[in-house]
Amino acid sequence: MTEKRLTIRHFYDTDTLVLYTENFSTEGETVSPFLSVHYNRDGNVMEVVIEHAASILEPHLFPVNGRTGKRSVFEYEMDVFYDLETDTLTLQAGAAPYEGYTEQTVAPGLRVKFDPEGWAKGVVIERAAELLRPYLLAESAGVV
Amino acid sequence: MDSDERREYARRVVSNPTRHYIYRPHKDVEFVWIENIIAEPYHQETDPIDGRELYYGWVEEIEKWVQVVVENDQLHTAYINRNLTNRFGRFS
Repeated sequence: MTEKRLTIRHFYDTDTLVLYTENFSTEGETVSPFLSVHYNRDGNVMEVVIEHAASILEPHLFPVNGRTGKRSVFEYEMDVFYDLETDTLTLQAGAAPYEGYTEQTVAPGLRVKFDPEGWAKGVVIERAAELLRPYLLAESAGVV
Repeated sequence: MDSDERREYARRVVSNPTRHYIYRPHKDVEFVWIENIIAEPYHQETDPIDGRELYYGWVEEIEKWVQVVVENDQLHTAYINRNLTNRFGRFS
């Protein structure tokens, strides 16, 4: 079976980060104001969009003096967790934990979590720093 | 803004997309729908955090809600938003 290939794009004019596996989506779903997932015709997630990505993720993926953690640039109704040891980034709406939630792998290293009613509630990105740092350089996002 | 001015503004926005929209458009959402929603939204609000203008409209042809996001008078994104059925209900 061929694994889906993950493509990443960062649009610096609006600081929008898009992770996707296909080029055409049918419906979107807002997880939080700055996080949305988009489905293909089969109802599978094929795109994750993070708005204000550099502003939100920069404190986590570019730790200062080895320290990471939540240093909100502004409120975005979304919790962001970054595990430095596993290089895993989690963005989620609502409170953890996720017991009873289901998960869908969009592509290797990108998963979406759903609540029992089937609404998307969070996104997990593995190898986050390795994958995203090149796209989120502060200079390109204009957040220096 | 009167209705003619709103229509003119909607046309201007649609013809002035952001890079995000140019490279990642949701092709199932037609330009004319976007223009109509901006000109005559079912609901409009300003995102209190980043100041983006959010327009919501019901599209009869597909019987779904479409969300349009405008930033600095540029079309940022427009997509069918399944959450909006919970918020606004259905028209059919």
